[in-house]
Amino acid sequence: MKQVEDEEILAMFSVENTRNEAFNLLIKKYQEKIYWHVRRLVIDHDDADDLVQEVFIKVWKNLSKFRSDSKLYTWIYRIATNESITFLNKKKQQNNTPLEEVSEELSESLIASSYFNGDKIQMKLQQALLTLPEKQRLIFNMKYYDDLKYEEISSILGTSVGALKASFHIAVKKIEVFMLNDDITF
Amino acid sequence: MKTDVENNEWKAEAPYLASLQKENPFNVPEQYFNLLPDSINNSIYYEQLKEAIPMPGFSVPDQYFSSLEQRIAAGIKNADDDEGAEDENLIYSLPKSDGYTTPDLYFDRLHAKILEKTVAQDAPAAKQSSKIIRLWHSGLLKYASAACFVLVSTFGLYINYSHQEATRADIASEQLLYDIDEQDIIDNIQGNNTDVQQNDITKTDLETYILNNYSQSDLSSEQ
Repeated sequence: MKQVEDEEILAMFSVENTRNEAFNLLIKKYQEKIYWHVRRLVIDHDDADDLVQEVFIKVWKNLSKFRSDSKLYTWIYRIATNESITFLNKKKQQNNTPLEEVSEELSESLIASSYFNGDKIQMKLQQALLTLPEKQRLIFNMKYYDDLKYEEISSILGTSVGALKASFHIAVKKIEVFMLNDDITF
Repeated sequence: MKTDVENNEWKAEAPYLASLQKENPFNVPEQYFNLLPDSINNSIYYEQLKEAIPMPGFSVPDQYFSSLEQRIAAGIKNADDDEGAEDENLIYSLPKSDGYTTPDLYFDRLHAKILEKTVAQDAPAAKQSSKIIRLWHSGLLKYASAACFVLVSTFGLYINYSHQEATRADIASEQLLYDIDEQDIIDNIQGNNTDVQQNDITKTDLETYILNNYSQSDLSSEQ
């Protein structure tokens, strides 16, 4: 199926008769990308499912106000990132849990998850990512898994390209040390 | 080209990570992405419903709660003023009876039934238990008895102490007598006696005493 262009979706959405159709096209085009972006941050499938629905509800409510000063995908990506970070912060506040313990919870969730089919090396890599600070993990995911350009990541996160490069390189080094540490096994 | 450089420059710093195959270790339930659009649309629909209907569905007339208290008070007043009068508030015109009845003599028998199930059942257990007789029926009696005991004890101790003191005094006096020289005692006695006799005894009395107490032989032997 040929993907519909963003401009066409926006044009259809602006017309009341075709609004629902446009929105369905938008969901089908971006749902998987948005889902995996969220899932890699929150680990648990059910949490990711709830957040993805929240993201698209916000897209529905605000799409008519969207100005084309950024790409549609970048805009949706930014909503998804903010929703995920808000979710993780709420998790900390609800249980009065420090950040390190939230990472531990996510790590345990990963080990116990029935929706993880990676081998030991993949498990170790995911555990290595969970040792990173939240924003560093976010940057690594978008660069390593989503292959986004630094400019696109800068547009999404509002961080300079230089800071992003530095953050990504630090993350890569930490992960390399973790992966080469034979004392850590899963 | 630039993207390739950008995406590969980190590989030199992390060769092991670069050697790993980039794969997604997570999975999702079957048909998840096929069903996700419908799920999202349903969520949007519910959100729209919530925005359209802020209240839970029920409504009341304007100023209902602010005037409720006054209407209740007026209704009560009308019920008191008009005996059996027609009242637009039906509840106050009804007779004050809950409509329930009980069997004949129910409350008379109720008391006995309750006692039967409570006190009577506990009675055998009460008989088996030993009777406790209180020694002190009154706290006043208890304290009075204690006070008497204290007084008697004190008096006894005092008597005993006094007797012991007298005994000690006698012993002390005897000890003193043992310590004094015998001649001093005799002199003292004679001195005292001479004074009394010189003052009180006449020649006649002396002759009478000697004749009564001494025999001829005694008198002749002393000479």
